[in-house]
Amino acid sequence: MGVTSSTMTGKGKRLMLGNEAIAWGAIIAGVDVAAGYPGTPASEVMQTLINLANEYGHYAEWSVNEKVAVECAAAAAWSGLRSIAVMKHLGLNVAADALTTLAYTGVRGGMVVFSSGDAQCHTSSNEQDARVFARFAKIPVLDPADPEEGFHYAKMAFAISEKLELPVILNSTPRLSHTSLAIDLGTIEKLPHRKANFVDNKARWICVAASALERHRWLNRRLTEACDRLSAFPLIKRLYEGKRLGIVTNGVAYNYALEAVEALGIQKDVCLLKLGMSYPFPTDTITSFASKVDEILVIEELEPFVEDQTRIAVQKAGLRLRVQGKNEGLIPIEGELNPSIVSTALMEVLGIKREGVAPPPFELPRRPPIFCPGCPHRSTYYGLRNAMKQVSLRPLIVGDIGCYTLVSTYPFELLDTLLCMGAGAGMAHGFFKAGLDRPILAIMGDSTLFHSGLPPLANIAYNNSNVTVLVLDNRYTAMTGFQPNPGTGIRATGEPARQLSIEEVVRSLGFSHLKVVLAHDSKAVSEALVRAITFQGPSIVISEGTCALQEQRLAAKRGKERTAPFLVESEVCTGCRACLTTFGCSAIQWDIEANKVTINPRRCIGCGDCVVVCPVKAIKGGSDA
Amino acid sequence: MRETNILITGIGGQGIISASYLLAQAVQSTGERVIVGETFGASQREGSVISNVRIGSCVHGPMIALGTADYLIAFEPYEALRCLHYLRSNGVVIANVQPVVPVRDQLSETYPPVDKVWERLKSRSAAVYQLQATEAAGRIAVDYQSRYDVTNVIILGGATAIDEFPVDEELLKATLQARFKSSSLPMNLEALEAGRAMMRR
Repeated sequence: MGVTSSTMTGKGKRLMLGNEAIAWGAIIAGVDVAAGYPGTPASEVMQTLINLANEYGHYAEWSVNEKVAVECAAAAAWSGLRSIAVMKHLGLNVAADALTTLAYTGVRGGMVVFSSGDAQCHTSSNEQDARVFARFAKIPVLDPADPEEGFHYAKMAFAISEKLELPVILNSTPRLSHTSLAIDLGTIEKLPHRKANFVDNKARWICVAASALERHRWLNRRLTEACDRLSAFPLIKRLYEGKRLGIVTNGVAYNYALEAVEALGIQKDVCLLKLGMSYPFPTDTITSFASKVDEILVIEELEPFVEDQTRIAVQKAGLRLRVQGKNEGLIPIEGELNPSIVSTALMEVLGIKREGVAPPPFELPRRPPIFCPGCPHRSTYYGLRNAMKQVSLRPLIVGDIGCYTLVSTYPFELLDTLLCMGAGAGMAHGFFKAGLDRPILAIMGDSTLFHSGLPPLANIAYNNSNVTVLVLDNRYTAMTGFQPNPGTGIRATGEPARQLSIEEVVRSLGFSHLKVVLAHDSKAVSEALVRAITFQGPSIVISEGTCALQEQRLAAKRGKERTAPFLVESEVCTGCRACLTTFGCSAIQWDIEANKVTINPRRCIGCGDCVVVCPVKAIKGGSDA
Repeated sequence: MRETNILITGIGGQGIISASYLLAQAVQSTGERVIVGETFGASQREGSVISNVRIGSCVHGPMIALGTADYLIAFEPYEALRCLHYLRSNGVVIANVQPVVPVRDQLSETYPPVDKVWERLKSRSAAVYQLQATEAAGRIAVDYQSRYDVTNVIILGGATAIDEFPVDEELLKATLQARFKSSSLPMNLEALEAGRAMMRR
């Protein structure tokens, strides 16, 4: 990194996402290296850092996975630079091996691990609490409440990291990451970039045996002193002067608590303490707060993390007051909080009775996301279903994470399992070795393959598992916003890179039965899958087709005209609905009066994948239109 | 000062998030505090999408409490029904009339007839404005030979015709002028006017 300095001029307040605000905080703090892996709701932090990399002179990359991102950022921080690693909460698990020992070594330059969680599982397979992970990994965690705090906390996190010589987790949720607020970036002297400088210290950087044990002692001392060392940082907010109820809150829950207190008009009855850092826990602050109130209600999202630590602090101090929250069932552990939940809990504790104003929701069948018109996955899965009809036993379909997971939805509904990134191939192998007496098919996307798919693929090949792997290669990490991966051929910051060939990679791992097909040719997909599934031994089919949404975005950017839509010849259509029940493109609609299908020309992108689906060839377009 | 809560809902890909930003940008340009909270995990993939736009110096969090939305702006009638419990009593509904029913539900007829949706919406609100936005957006796209869908600007344009709505025509126009390149601006201004014209009818 070169040494540069620049001054940003304030342009007044600008509306921005919490994630963007956090990225700006990092830039103003002089971040030198940024690495991350996409995942909703975290991706925009990294995307903003990527978009601004040239202008502000930091390095930014989409790494192949979160562990690699953490290692990249850690090396920068060991060299005295400021770095950030960006991921969703589940990425912390992938990076855990690096992070848990990184706490022992500590860092020299400030290092921030941004993690955005997913209370409510909006787009995730679990809603694990990053604060609990932080305590497990022995890494301090900051919990900003809104985009403005996100901006300030991001700046502060680097200084805190350097003060403690420890990495710091900056913990977000969808309601911070995906909330927008007008923020004044101000006229701020941006810190200059640093020059990398690795200082030899084998007892610290080689973490093993006696040195590791010594570092663990160092870490524990550091964590014990942390709150005192950080006393100058504005991490604690106090509001109201009431005595009857002390409200302890943390993260986004603070907003709901404020709104509920104001709406209920109980400002005189309560006293509110907001913690900006939930681990290490500010025990002295809590104890002094607890000594001034009659009882405490802890309002926080997910686990009773602050609540349990508050109980311990109160008990240690020998105070006799009631601490309530999730353990009493006042606030749920599962799902995200909202103003109504918090308000109800406060009313219950304070004995306030009020009529509910909201009617119950109207129950409609859920509207799940589906494949977009023109999606190569739909055609691949149409081929897969036809292949499944031609093999004697129905294969077990072992799933993985990405757009292609939507094979679980109508009209395919073919998915049997889904666990985590890379688990498709890993568990397919396990099902085979368990002795399941049916074919086993793992599905996997291109980004997932590079993220955590390579080790289980090597495992399948080396241990000669009789499983088939279907790789759905759409060239992008599409579900999270079309980020490039090593299969794309461009880097995050836009420069071309040598594209990694999935075919060459898997062949070198030992998959000798290998077939590459075009996703939009469902017949070829089907034939390749039948051969692969009936083959005895490890087999792989790579179905290639660029993400249709991304293809259209790029075409629109280039000013390319839309491809003409296909249409249904209504005199030919028999109303058999095969196109709806086996293919299910949302551009194809059922005309209830005519008892036939039609194609919505605004929705259809002209891929023509549906032509082969119609048994009477009623769908026309392209060259035969 | 009283707060104004606007819940915008629809289906991923309809431009809900862009609409909430246009609205927020307009409010923000007047110096008023505005917060947008979005749930867009399913965006562009035809799942339900909700965006909360909250205006006022006293708003803190991004989520509109149940029964407190002043306006429910829906890009699709069934999504309006799905979010009706957020609307306060005597709140206002502005909804696109074009239903979009998932393929499976088209065949199994699990969704109630759309007449029932309107009935229900009317029973719980002070006014329901029904806009033929999809149809107009299709026409405008053809006129301008564009691949972009201006349904969202038509609906926002319609909302500006309501006197109490926090963003008026001039403000939305200025926001569109700041937001769009000269090439796509005329189309968006026409969409705004189309929405307003529907409200006059």
